[in-house]
Amino acid sequence: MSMAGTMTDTATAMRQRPGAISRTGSFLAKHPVILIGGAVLLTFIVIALLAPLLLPDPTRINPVQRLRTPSLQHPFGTDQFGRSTLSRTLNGTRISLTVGILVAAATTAAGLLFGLFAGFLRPLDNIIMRLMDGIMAIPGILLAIALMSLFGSSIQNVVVAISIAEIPRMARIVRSSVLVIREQPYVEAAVTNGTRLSRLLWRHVLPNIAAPVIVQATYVFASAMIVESVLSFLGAGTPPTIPSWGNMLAEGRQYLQRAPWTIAFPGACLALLVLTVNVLGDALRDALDPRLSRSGR
Amino acid sequence: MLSTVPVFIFVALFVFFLLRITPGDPAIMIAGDQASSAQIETIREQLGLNRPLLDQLLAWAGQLLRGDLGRSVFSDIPVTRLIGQRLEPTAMLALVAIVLAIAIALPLGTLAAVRAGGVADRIVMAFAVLGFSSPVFVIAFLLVYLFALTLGWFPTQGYVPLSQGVLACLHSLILPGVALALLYASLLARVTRASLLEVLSEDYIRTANAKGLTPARITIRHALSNAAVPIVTVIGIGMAALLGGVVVTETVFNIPGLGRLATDAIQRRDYPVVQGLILVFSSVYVVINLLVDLSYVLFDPRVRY
Repeated sequence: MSMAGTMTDTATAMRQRPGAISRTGSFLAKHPVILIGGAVLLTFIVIALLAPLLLPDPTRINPVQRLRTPSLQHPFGTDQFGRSTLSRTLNGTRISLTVGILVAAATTAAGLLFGLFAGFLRPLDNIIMRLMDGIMAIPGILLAIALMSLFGSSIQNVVVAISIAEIPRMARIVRSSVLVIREQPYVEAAVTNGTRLSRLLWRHVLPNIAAPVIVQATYVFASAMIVESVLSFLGAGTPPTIPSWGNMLAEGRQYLQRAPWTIAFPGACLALLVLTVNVLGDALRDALDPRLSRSGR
Repeated sequence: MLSTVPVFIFVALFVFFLLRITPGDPAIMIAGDQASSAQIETIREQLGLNRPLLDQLLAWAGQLLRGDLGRSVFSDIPVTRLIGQRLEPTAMLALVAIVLAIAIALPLGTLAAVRAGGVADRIVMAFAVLGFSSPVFVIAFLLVYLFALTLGWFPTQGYVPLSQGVLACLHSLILPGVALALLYASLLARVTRASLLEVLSEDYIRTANAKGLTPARITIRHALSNAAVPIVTVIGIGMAALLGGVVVTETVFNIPGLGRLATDAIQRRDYPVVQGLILVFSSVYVVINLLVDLSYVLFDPRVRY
């Protein structure tokens, strides 16, 4: 694993200097996929922020308007309780994005912690990495379902359950990068100069492992949104009263033949959002470090 | 190889403590809100939750070593028998999915690598990202809507056991198999392409070209066999996604396998069954990856154990 060996250049390039805006602009111009992906993601974020302000209450029941086909009045149709599928779908964006972002953040923080400890403090290495191997041996979705069955359903618990399943892979990536970097002359020089550990990690190690960590974080982001919908779909995720895409797909299941739109819209949005984040991840990986893309995923 | 032993021990410990570390009384949690105190006491007795933790741990370890996974709280049937009853549909589904995934991914990944940068490459890779991003149940609903509800070629749900004929069984598994295989196939196609690309730039490929071998022979005999190790590795690692996908696919298609057993057990708070299933799924995953490690010998004569 020599992934992080030559990341010094990219990390230097990423460091904030005067003219950051124009530099960001030329970076985006050079990588149109990141620009487009970023624009789509931003659109989803705007939708998530504005949906509750502009659209009718996604939980309002209207028995007269049950299972209506998409029309001008109900652009995405209505579900078996006469609730607006448009409003529920767009409000569902909030849940997916919230879970995705929180899991990515939690996984990155915990992965960095475990990975840095394992990489720098050799006695801990074996213990931490065997622990991570053990968690990785349990299929992620099954682990998350089992944890949810114990924790009880709430968005907060969904985030914790998915993060636990995702942390080991991040910790591995951090550790393998750290193992390369700790042998580099500039780290040795910093140690010889008596640099404090916190400064060593912050100034010398972290910038040099940033690229693979950022890329992995986007993959975790995408995967967390899928797992959230799966958990909700199986009835072990977001509480059924909250309009999340997984809940909508679970409820629409019996009406697949009569009202396919109750499933089509949340399903398509979920796939599009996950696709966007995955494509962004791939593009970032190619842009931040071309060496990473060779090993596939 | 010995490294699998600590993984097994960890998973067993994890499964043991999963129930015990939760806030609150596990017996009350399993019994549910409406249970009487007598019922709660029975469950506590049954699971040995009233004994000291160390006793419980030793009893659990002893049970495991004897191949005993306890009894279902819900039906009082031994967990091993419950799992045995549900094994066939899951094994068949996983098999169909793996075979389909390899049959789809290897040729397409190879095509993408040979035509790297071309139209075929772009199309295959676009589908790979799409397949990777679509949740299993979204693909499943799409397939059911198209091929079962609209065209009527396949049943919308259910499983025909092997005893009623191999073809009938396979027919009932086509849609769930495809739904499950697409994710796995996307992963495999990407690795096949990446791994082949690396090999195709090697000197011996140029030599093979120079001595006038046919492109097909070079791709298969010289390139693919040398690119096999990463591909096989991902077949093993991808099993985690596949086993997770089994749980979802079985729920969507109403297949009475281990995945359905897991979701049912979780909804009934049938904890011994949940524990047993996590152990079984993890063991399958670990053993398959061990086999993958061992199979490197077949592809790379430099590997010795």
